[in-house]
Amino acid sequence: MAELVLDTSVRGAGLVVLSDGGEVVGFRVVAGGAGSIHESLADLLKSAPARVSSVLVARGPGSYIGVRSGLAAGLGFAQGRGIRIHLVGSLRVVAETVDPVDARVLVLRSAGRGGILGQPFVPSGLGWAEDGPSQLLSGDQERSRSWLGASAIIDPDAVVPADAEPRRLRPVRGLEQALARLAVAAEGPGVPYDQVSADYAIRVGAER
Amino acid sequence: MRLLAIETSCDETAAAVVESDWTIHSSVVASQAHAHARYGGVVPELAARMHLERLGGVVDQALEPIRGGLRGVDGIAVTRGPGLVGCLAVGVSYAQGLALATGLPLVGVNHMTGHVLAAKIAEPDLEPPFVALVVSGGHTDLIHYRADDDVVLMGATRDDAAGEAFDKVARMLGLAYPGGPEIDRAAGSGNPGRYRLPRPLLPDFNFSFSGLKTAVLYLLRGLDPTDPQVVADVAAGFRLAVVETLVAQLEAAAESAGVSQVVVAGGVASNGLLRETVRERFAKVARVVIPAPSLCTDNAAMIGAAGLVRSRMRGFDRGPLDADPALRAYAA
Ligand SMILES: [Zn+2]
Repeated sequence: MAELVLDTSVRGAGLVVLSDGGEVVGFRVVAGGAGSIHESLADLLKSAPARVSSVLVARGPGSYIGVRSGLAAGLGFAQGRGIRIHLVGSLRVVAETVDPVDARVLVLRSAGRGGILGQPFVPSGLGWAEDGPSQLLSGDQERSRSWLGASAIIDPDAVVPADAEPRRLRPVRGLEQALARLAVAAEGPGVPYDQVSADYAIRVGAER
Repeated sequence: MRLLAIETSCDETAAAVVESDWTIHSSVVASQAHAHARYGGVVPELAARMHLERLGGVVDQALEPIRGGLRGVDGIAVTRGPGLVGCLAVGVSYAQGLALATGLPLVGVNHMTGHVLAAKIAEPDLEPPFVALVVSGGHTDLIHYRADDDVVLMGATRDDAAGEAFDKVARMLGLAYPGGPEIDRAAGSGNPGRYRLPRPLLPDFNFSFSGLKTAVLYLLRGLDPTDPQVVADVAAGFRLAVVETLVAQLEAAAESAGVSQVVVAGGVASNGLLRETVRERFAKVARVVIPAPSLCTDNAAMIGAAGLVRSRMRGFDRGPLDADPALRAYAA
């Protein structure tokens, strides 16, 4: 029994992972586009045949088309097999590359065009739990607002200058391993096929 | 051969199951029109969101009457273009996930070919050659359908599509979106002869509706657009001008191609006056096929029809499929 995991929330790139009990059985990097997801997925399933018992998909925030294509592909696969589909926030995936510390942390990710995606997390068991919604920050807003209340940051895209004040947490595992861990943690009946939706992040501050 | 068909190119989330004898087992359309109405047109980002949220339920519903569900179909057809890129990506990604999970073969089809081949569902004994007028919110095309793999674009709009012109004029008249049905309703109590509007006839079977639209704009400057009778009369005059233009070019194209069959397809083909006028004009000249209105507006049954023709002609697609928002119209 294995879990199929998809995260295509990063612009122009993504991951398809086959996980067995939290172990990465195989993974492919997705170049972007519907055809590429299909190609990576087909190739992975062929090279590592396993009975997939559930699907976990990153629901964003991130590249709009990327997130939706991944969600649609995951939904189609789950519905085609009649298996459960679980969703997880894309910034939670990033958080899980880091072991929990006793602090409220902010995960930051570049949203392109100067925008920054951010979401706070607190330690929970062996991983992280959301401590607020994902937000799209712009300009200096993120300093005044989101730095506050977080004593550490996880910043894989280096969106914050190196001399910025919060403590930086370093990843100890790759995204594919983080996804495999999350696949094991995904429990319960999953999301009904007619209720799969993306997380587009709350826009903070006025737009020019 | 029985296909599950999926359509998400614009603002209708649709799924259908069609049989190779052109029987429709199911056809489900979840329209988003009400969601876009307040913006006066389709908002691409909103449309893509809604497709993702609705597709799973729509497909389940389409499979309901099929014994064995997905095991009761032989393949999947999906619209791969033309259309809105984010919307197409949802349908194409979903269909590929479904195909991979089930091992069912997949065929990507052209949305516009789907509009034309809805005529096969309407009248299965229709065989090429024929000339088709395809009128929708995004296209106004005249094609010579010589064979399934030999389709010639005879003419197209140089600016606005007919459906687009309806939407814009509806807005000028203070009517809601989508404009086609609204203008139809208003025109019902109007006098089409009260205001004479131009019939823009271009050479080579092409169309241009921007001049007509501007003529309405100038006409309204001297009128009271809050007077319901003015709105009704202008709507009636505009509708008649569009219909007469479309029909005149269709007549010219059919004569030039030397065909004895004409098809009218696409969302605007659900317009009552257009349907009547074409039937009337061609009554003694050619066989007229106009699908039922529910097959003219965007639906997945027509995508199934195009999938049947394409898979029969070229087999199913091998390998990955990408959405193609600018897919050349009618390319087989
Ligand atoms: Zn259409």
